[in-house]
Amino acid sequence: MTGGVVQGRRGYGSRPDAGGAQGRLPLPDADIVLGNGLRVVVCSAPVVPLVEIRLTTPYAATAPGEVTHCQLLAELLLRGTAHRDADDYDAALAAHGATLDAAADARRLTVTGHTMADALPAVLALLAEAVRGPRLTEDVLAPERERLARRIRLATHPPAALAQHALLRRRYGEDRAARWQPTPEQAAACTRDDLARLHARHLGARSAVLVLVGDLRPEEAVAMATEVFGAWEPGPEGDVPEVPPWFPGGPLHRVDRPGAVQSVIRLAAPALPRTDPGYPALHLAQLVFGGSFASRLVARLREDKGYAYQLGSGVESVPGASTLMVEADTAAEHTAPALAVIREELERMAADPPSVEEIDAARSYAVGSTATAMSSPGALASGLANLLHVGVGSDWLHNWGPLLEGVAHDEVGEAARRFFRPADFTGVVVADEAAVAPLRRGAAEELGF
Amino acid sequence: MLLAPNPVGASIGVAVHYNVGFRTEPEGRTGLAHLFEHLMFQGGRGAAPVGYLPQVQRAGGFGDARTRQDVTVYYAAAPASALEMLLTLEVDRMRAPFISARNLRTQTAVIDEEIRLMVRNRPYGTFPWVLPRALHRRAENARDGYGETVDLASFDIPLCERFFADHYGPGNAVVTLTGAFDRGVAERLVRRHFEDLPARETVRSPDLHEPLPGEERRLTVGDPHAGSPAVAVGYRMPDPVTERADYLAHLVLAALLGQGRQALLRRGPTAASEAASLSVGCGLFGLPLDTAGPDLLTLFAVHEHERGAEHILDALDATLEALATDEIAAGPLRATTARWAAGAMRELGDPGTRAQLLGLRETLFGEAELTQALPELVRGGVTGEQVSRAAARLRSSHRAVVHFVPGQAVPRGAAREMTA
Repeated sequence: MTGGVVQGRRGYGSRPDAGGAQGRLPLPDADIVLGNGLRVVVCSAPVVPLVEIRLTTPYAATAPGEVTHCQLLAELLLRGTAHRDADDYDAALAAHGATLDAAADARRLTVTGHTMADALPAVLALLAEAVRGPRLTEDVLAPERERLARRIRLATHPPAALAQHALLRRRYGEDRAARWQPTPEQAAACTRDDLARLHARHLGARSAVLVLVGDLRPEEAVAMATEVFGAWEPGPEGDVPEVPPWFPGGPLHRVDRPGAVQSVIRLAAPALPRTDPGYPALHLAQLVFGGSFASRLVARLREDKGYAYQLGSGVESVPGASTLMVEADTAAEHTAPALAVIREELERMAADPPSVEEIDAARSYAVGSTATAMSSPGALASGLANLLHVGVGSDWLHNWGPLLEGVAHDEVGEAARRFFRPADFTGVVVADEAAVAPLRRGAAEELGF
Repeated sequence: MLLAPNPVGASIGVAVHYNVGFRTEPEGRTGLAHLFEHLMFQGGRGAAPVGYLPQVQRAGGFGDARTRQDVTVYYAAAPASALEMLLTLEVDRMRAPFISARNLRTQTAVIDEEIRLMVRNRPYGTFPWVLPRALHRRAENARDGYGETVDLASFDIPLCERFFADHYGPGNAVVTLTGAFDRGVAERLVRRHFEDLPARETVRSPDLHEPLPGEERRLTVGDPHAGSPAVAVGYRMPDPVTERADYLAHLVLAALLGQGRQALLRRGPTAASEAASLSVGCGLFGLPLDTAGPDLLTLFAVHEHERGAEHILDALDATLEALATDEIAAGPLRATTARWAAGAMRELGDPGTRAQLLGLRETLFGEAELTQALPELVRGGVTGEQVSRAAARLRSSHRAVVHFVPGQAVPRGAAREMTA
């Protein structure tokens, strides 16, 4: 083990200040970097006799097709190794009650899983075996290639997925969208050599992050990880995921979906990355706008008008950037009025900025709910892995409460004025044009719809 | 009242189960249990006008509710300091929900949007509802939880008040607390807040058992949003109380067939090459021991070729046949049950989920401890011989098969029900 310090042990939830700084989550017990560049973050949370495992390797999709190939690599990663076939490999995992799944997007490949606590060394060894030497043979590849192509095709049909694809194009243009979106054709065309190249380039220890949360002794877990992953080759200089560019506001893009009985509305505006000091104020403004059940948008659109069952705002974070999202699904006849309400509420963020009461309610929600949401080891492990991926420290959750407490009311007002201007938003509406078009009159100016 | 403290962590879970669900609704009142859940979710008279969820969120928690066949559950998770507040909110709405004409109108509209979102606007959205419709004969067992539009439009406040009086008495509820609280403190709080609730008569739930189907039932549905055809299969599950061992063997059988990458149905050359997605599970919503009435083991598979459904059904039958003839080997059985048990244990790591699962089994079977015992019952208790028997039982029982046909153009007459 090199270049790391194992911090003093902190019992999960055994905070002395449980009553005071409500919702303050524990610091991880260890956060170290091995000699080969692998970062290991360990957190003791002995709720059930299991350990949660998250392994993330970041990368940057630089050419069209690469993201698809990375997804295929993820599909193959846990389907056998040089030493054992898929059956043997899966049986070895299952014998420990362990499940491991791999997935990839345009920025990272992630292995997610859990194991019975007493089998952690064996399961980490199996994970390392797969990561270092997956079985990339044609007989394994051929059926997976087909299966992935089918899955990608299938995944494009739900209306929310259609909207996501359209929104990606709307925000970043065709070229980037093509680079970040998998396609069935690219899956079908992927060769063994493509995968071997990707594996050599992306699946190195350098800049990979391993998160372990659960019923474990931190020192032992670190020792295990060091022993098992210490010999993992660093690989080439780690890719740095591309920071998505700023995108302009503008008219909504319409996607016709004949036969749709509900319109899918997705609006987006550029926001601050997680690492920005202004992020907490933006987050509070967002909770007042649409990010909680008591928020202005939910109160009006759902509880007052009944226009939507599922709706709200949120912040979508990737390394180096965030996007403020507003979402609502509503019947064709409610589409134009719902958009009008959204626009009014966006405008009201500047005209009638969040009140002290609204801000304080949002703050206590943000502080407490983070701790509540992270109270299961699985959620805490995923939360830590995601936060580390977007570039904040492993102490982020621990400091989130104090950070929010330190936000002044006028900072929230400032964020409300700055980030909720309707002109800065763009978006998509997936709807049955024939049903919605006649209703658009009178609302034509609503966000360009 | 169930108290299940766990001193690890700083959160609590609260679940309140009422012994009423969408099977309990009388004819002509379908959708009432779910609509009432929406109304009740707003909170009691004491919580108005702020409402239930904003108060929970302000305390750093979150909450939700859901309506199932036999139970309606309201649940929340929050920092431990919110315990008394959550109990106050629950007792408030158990005493008297706040229902107004406007509230009723709005929530009916919200439910219309919910049905569009969950059922009518997405590919295969009628799954799983279409399976009980195909397999069961009694109207209560065949209906979906959302109800008929014409029924939904007819509900008024007196009806809702009667529903509350009939089904939401304290004697028809189970309150479950999990997580970081002190047993003594919680007991005192529960007594302080709940003890003076007046007891009242509850309308008994009807007995909804129905005989096993005497023939295979087939249904074809047109799906305007589907890109590929799909097939769904439903088998009757054994009774969760009188046939407990068989029930657990079915859980393991479902896992062997379809759960995990190396599941039996994913391995055959036919099935694997046909299905773009495949899932097998117990319980209409994938949660086992979720109802005391007739329940289903379900399979759902999307396939790209026209004959895909046939191949999947053939693979299913052949796999069941093989399992019924030759007991599953000890190794794969142990692997499957170990994995199932770890998955079930994992769910108990979240206080909110744990409260829901403990209270659910207490409400249905008077056995909260079943939830805690389930991982070990499956891992240590299900034998290869029992799994063989379960496979034979499925093989010889009459199932429902539903074909999803993409596009609007359903073959003439195909939407009607057919008997094979």
